[in-house]
Amino acid sequence: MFRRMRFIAPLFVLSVLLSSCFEIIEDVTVKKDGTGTMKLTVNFSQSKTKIGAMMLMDSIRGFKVPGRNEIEDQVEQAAARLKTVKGISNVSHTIDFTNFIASVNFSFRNVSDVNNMVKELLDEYNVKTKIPFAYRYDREGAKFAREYTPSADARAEFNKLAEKDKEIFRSAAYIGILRFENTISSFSNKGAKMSKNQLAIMQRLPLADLVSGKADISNQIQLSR
Amino acid sequence: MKRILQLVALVSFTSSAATAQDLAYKIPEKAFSVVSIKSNQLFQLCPANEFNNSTLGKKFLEKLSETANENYKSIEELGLNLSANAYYYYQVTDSINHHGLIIPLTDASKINALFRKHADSIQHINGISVLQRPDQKTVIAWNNQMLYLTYGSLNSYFFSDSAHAAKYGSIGTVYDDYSYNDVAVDTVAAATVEEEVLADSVVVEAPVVEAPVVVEAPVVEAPVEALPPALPEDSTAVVFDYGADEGVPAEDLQAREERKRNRDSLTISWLTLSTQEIFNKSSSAPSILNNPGYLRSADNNAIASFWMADIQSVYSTFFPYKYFMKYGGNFLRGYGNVNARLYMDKEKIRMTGEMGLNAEKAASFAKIYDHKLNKKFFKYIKGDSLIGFMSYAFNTEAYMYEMPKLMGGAYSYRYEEEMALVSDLITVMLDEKAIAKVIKGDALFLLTNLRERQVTYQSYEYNEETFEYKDTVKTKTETLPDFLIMFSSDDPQLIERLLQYGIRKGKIVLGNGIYSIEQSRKNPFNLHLLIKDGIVFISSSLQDITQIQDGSFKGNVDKQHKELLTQNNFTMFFSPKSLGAKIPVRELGEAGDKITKLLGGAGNVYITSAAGKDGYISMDMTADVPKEKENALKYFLDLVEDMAHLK
Repeated sequence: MFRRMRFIAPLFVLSVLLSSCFEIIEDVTVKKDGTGTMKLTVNFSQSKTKIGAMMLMDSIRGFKVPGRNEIEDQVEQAAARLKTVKGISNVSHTIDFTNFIASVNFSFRNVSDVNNMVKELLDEYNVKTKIPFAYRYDREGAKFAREYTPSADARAEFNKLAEKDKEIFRSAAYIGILRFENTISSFSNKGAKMSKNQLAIMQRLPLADLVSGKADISNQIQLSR
Repeated sequence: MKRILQLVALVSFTSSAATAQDLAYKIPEKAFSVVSIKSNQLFQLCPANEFNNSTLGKKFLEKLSETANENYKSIEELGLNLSANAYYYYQVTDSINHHGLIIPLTDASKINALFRKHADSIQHINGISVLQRPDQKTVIAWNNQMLYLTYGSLNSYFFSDSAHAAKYGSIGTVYDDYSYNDVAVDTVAAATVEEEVLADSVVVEAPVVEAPVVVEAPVVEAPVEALPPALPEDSTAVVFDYGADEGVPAEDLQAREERKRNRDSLTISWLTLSTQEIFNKSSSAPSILNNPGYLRSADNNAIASFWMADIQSVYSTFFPYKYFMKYGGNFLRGYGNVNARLYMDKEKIRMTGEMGLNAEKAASFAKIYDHKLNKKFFKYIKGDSLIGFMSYAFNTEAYMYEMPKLMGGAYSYRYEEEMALVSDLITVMLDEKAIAKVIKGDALFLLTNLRERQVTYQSYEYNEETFEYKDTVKTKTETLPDFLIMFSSDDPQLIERLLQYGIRKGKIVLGNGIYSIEQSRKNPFNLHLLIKDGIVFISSSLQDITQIQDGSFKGNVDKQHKELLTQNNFTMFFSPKSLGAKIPVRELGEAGDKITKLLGGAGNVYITSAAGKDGYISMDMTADVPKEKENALKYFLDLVEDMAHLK
């Protein structure tokens, strides 16, 4: 209905002026043999009024606002590209334009396939930055590691942002969950929290801290054999 | 582009004395667009010393000091005449398009100092100092009277014409940056043209007068006619050696570089010629002062004015004529020249704009604009708490009749018969009178309030045992606007049927004669609709709609608002102060206090449009200057300063 009533758009500009927030959830399950699944979710539901308003406009502060079809096409393309990556299978995705939530699921043969996938995607989109994270899994030693190196480029880009745009990242949350078949004996990151059943680890922090390098999500996890 | 913006910025800070001769006569008669700045008014509103100390002034002087390797503390040190008019113009010819900036001087020696580090490159011709900058396609020249800066770019398609290529040499090799291949020349040249046009289009002004490819058209002024068959022998510009490039492979970077130098030198050579013409031009020679459209735009009370030749010619210069006509370039046929004026005084900043129409278009627009806003709307305006409004009043019936004609005109070059047919078909198919009864063509949109409401959103609930998560609906407080929309309808039956359909589908609820659409995931507002006294009301506030229904709504329309709404076909009003008072500071993040202060200190803004006189339609934008501010210019400078602090 509102799409047809474009003259109402100025009204929504008001709500766009106000700050918005969103969350990113990275949910990884690693089996004993090193295979696993990954689910990435971006949830803009808290800002749905603003996103809905933004999507009524052609551009905001000089940035072109993509239409629903354009977003769907892009996600379709990215999912299709994922399917071609070696070791990646069962790719599926969902986009909820009511709540503005998008998620991608896939299986991997080995955690190194995920590392390669990230590298390939970054190369393809011509992102010339060092890969900020990598997974390692030592099947024999039952050790899992997430190595995270804050990217100087990303930090520099973040610092260049206007204060108002930085605020968006500050109010956004990153949630990382790692799940295993074996119980966790120990883990190195003090910011992370273990589930009561000792099979999962979760870390929650403001996205801005991750981008700016203030927070660390590296973790060395020893699993029981 | 950056250079053009710098030129425009520079013109904004300069101008001509009442005593000195006004330099408008220097502007070519066929200029495509002209900007005039009345510096005396500018510096009366904001004396030079105050400007020097403003954020904008400091930045300007800082940049200038950096460029000239000097230490400028005041704009007065530049030798510019700050009490005379300065001009910017843009001229398009078939061979070269150029921007010109005319700035009157009081002290030419200060200009010598400004360009001291280029002293070796400055030529002195008949009392004129000329600095050529081939790399930047710019010529800067001055005498005791004025400083003239010009920047230009060649038109590719001029050189793709075989007669011109023969006259000016093998232009395919000299001109074209990217290819030696004759076949490729046209395409590449076209691409270059587009690039140039894009660059131009960013700078407000636009290209010129007639179809560029039609060389015989009696349009193009001096530069083209005066073009020499080759460069003058005494020219310092690079001498052409067209033959040297022949047969050289495209990959040969050296040859490419050579071509670039040649192109730059041709540009500089022509710019220098036009520069000399400007300096030699007497006040009795034909100039822009012969153009009635330009004279209409000039107003002594305006601080700045802008004039542009008719819009269709803007389009025609974007593309070579044959492409322009082939691809339906008639879209803007019938729209004439455009002008705008900026006024600043103690109480207001005002910008007015006009666009000329031919007789046919003027008649069509007169019929469409022949409609007034329903006066019954005024009862429902609460003037004291209003954040903003927007109104429009057009004659739906006339619009339905005239639109096919307007569209037909746009495509008549290629599809005259087809468009006439489509136009008749629309007329037969649609019952204009019946449509005009349902939607008369006037509407008023009021932004009445900002209110905190509970809205739902989806998040996740994590199981502490496993960290598995499931979807959960949470609520949060969000500030959303309240609004009221009204439009007139003499025959709301169709609207009622639509609403009844919505009820049957379970999307709309009818209670006490008020139709309501509940807030949903897709729609953050509860919408309420009422049809009463030939008006359809839609609002996010049930209280307002209920009061309208039972007649207890107490409006108090402002006299000024009433006048604006009555006299114009389109009106927009925005009160930053009212918005600032209603918006919760915590919603604005860290800069909340500053934003609220900025909004609180800003004056009201109005935009109006009405059918103009003499075949023009007009647009007017006004911003009130808050009482505590001395005048409009200082208010504007303060706003710039406050905005800078927000970052």
